[in-house]
Parts: sequence; structure tokens; C-alpha cells
Amino acid sequence: MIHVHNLTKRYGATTVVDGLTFTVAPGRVTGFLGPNGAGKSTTMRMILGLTSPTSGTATINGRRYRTLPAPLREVGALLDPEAAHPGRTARAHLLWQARGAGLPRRRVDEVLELVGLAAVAHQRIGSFSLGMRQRLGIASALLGDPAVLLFDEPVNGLDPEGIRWFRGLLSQLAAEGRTVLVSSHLMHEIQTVADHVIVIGRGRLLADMSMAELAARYTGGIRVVASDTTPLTAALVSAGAEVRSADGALLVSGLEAAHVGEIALRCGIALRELTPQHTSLEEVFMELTAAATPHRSGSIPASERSQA
Amino acid sequence: MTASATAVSSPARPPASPGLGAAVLAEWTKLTSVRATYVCLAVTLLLGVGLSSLAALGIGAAGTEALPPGVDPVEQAAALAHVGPVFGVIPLVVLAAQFSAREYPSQLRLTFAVHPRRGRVLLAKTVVLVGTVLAVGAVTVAAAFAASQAILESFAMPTVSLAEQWRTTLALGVTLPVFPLLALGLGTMLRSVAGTTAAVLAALLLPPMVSTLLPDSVQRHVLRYLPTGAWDNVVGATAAESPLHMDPWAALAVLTGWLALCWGAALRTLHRTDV
Repeated sequence: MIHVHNLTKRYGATTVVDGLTFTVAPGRVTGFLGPNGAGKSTTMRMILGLTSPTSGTATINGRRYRTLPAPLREVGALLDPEAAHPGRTARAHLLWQARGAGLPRRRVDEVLELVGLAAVAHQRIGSFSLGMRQRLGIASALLGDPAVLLFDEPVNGLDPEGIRWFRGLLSQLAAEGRTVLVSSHLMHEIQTVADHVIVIGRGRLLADMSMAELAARYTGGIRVVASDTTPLTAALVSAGAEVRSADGALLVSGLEAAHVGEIALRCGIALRELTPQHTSLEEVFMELTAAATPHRSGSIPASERSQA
Repeated sequence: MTASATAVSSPARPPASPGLGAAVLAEWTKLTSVRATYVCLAVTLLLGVGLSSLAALGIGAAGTEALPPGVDPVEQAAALAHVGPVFGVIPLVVLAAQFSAREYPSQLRLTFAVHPRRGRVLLAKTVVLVGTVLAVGAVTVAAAFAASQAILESFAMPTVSLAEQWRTTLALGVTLPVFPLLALGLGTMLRSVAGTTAAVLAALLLPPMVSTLLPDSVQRHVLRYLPTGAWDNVVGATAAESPLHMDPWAALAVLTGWLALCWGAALRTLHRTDV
């Protein structure tokens, strides 16, 4: 269980994390979403006691990380695939951590096997691909068999097979009753595996709800293309719908698709198209964070565009 | 690469929390698992023995009569034994800078995740570095001594024995970790291997090079109290009539002061830094 209460981090005049409060519960995978620069990594570092909060608290099972007697046995974290010295072998990298945490040597071989790196255990990390270094970081996180796990952008560099494997691992860790927090700046990376989602932007909490709630809250209406739109619009509005016209089509919200079809039939209007619009979670995410994205792509002025 | 079974086994959970011993073991594992360590230590041995031998060869080949007037051949023999190991400190400084500054920031996060008590990490690094430098230093000092005297003897030049020179030789061996420790502390503060190496090597090599160009008062009131000035006095390398001379015990106190200052500042930096 991770508790974050009123957590704030300022660097000079810049507020990176701004009064965050949330709880990460055990037994499910919690996605931690936000655009680049939203404060996800800083929040995770504060949870791990690496960065001191300006104010507020972050606790793990009721204690601050720095006061945990055997932190690696309680919390595992993947923060950065660069955390390994390139000159060390994968095995040596895990061995120093195991020795530092007082864990048995066989744990090293177990986690290497678990993440699929057993065959390259004696190779230097410098020769590893980004995906292999991510797997090594995941092995580090699992080393102490902790009940609380934090993964910062874990699927960066993983190949499709690796991503599928990692999603399976996350589900299993959650099913074992562990607390699992996974950050990402891409909704699709975690939407299939997360049960719960915490969305932040510019250091502030934007959403803290189950994945199902998030999907239900943002539905996209029904797209209707008809032979004669004016009477149909009137009929739909009188049935309580909200109707907007867009590109020669009507965008109807507040009614079920079947109901729209029945109204059209009653009016004797032929429908050429009747499509419920599924807003993807990616779009929901974009909408949620649109106002809170620090690094936005500027639009290119027309004159420059023509030269390009 | 294929995905393997995802079963997570539960290790036995002894209640004891890992202490300084575990931190020392972790740092020892880090130090001995990278090739650069072995390269630096080998170069130390090579420089130490090689420079003492080369110098002895040059002096020996020239003969006693080539010595400048006023230079005692016996003192010369003792100085030759020590000149190599002093330069052997250079790769040890590089090693110490790597050992501390190289970790910043990503690797340090992992280190502090394993050991959230940061003072313990610095202490563990200190223990491991001092132990390693003392061990390799002892071999280097002894080998440089033996090699230089053997070469002088082969030219029928005056030599010194370890029995006569035990105090200064022991002092040299024991104080070899001083500059590597300064690099460990400074590396923790500067977080740059290049910057740390440059600063500590400048502190090690520059004062002896410029001292003769500076007025006596500067030598007496400034250079004497710099780490190199103090170190030379501890190992008995400073002539009694030099303005840089001081009592070896006082010099040891000065060196200890520098180390304490550097270590304390490093500790303060570690506690205040967000990684």
C-alpha cells in the first residue's frame, strides 16, 4: 500500500509536483499516467526517499521509505534502465544489490531466469539492448520479492513479445496481492493491464478512478448520416438528444443508437450511416491532460510550412 | 529472448536489517566487478615499481660522481624507493573518482534504494577503498623498494635497507589512501569523474612543481598546510631546512583535518542531494 498525501516538490520557482494525494491499493495494477514532465518520475523518487518533498508525505505500508528496516524486501523499483554500470555483467549487477540487501545469492539466479536473462547473465550490460536493460531493471525490482512494486516507464524499449510478457507479469504480481504502480506517458501501454488509473498533469491530480469508470465517463455519441437531416434533427432534439452537425453528418449524444434508428424510421428518413463513436482511452487521456501539458508541439506557421 | 515462467518464489525473510557489513560487501562487489578497477590497480603497481626502477637505473648508470654536490647518496637511495609509489597514487585517484562520481545519478538511485541511510554508503565506500589501496599500496611500496635497491646494488651504489627505512616506508604505505580518499569525497560533491580527477591530481602534483618559484613566506604559511605539503612531511620527504618542513605528527594532524573536512562535506552533500 502506498499513501501519498499533499505531496509537493518545488525546484526554485518551478513546481514539479503540486499537492498530490492518492492511494495505491494492493491486489491490482495501478497505472500512473501523465504527459512528459507531468511529475511522475519525481513522485516515484519521493516515494522511494531519493528526493525530499518540499511538503507533504509519501509512505509505504505506513512508513517513510528511509525508515524501512529492509527496504528491498518491502519495495522493488525500476526507475531507469541506465541504473546499471555498462562494464558490469548482469549477474554482478544483481549480486551487489542482493549482498547489500542481505538476500541469498540464489535469488539472483531466480530473477535472471524469471526475466529471461539467464543465458546472458555473464555478459556485460554495455552490450545489452534497451529492452534487455529494462528486463534487468525488472529483475532488480523483483530481487527482494517485495509486496510493493514501482515501475517507471517499464515498457520503453521492450519488443512486442516483451510487452506481452510484462503485462502478464504485472497481472500476476497484482493477483498475488502485491501493490503495483506502473507509470507511462502512453495510455495504450497500460490500458489493457491496469485496473485503476491515476492521471496527473503539471504535477496535479487529474483523475483517480478505475479503468471502467474512466471509459464510461467519456463516451463519444453516435454519428448519423441521413437523407434529410432537418426533420430528423428536430425529432431527435424533441426526444431529448443533443445534436451537432459535423461534416455533413449529425453527432447525436444522449440517446442509444437503437433509439435513433427507431426515430428515423418513424420519420420515414433513410439512414445511410448509424455509428456509435467509441472514444479511445487515448483520446480521453489527451482530453484530460490537454490543458496540463508542459511541452506541446507548436503548429508550424503557414509560410514555413510552404517552404518545408 | 523468450519469456520464462513468472513464478515468484518467496525467499526466507530473516528479520535483521542489512547493516554496514552488507553495505561494505555490496560496495566491494561493485568495485571488483568492473574491469577499470583492475586496470587502475595494475597501473599503480607498474608505475610504482617501474618509476622507482627507472630512476634507480638512471642514477646507477651515471654513477656516484654524477650526483649534484650536497646530495647524500644514501638519502638519494631512500628517495628513489619512494618516488614510484607516489606517482602510483595517480591511477588510484582515478579509481576513487570513478568509484564515487561515476554512480551519479542513475546508479546512485539504485544504491540509495538498497541503502537509504546515505552515510552508511559513504562509510562503506571509504572502508572498501582504504582496504583496497592499503593492500595494493603495500605490495607496490615493498616491490618498488626492493627493485630500486637491487638495481642500485648492481651498480655498486650505496643502498638502504627496509630495517633502516621502516618508519618512512610504513608512513608512505599507510598514507597512500589519503589522495584517493580526497577523490572519493570530492567525487561525491562534484559528481564528475573528470572534474574530480583533475582537481585532485592538481592538488597532488602542482604544489611541489611551483613551490620553488614562490617566496618562503608563501611556502611556510600556505603550501606547507596543503595536503601535498603535509604528506611530504609525514613520509619524511621534506628536508629539515626547507620552509615546507614541519613535525611529522603535526603533518599527520593536518592531513587528517583535510580528510575530515572532505568527508564531512561529502556527507553533507549526500544528505542534501535529491537523486
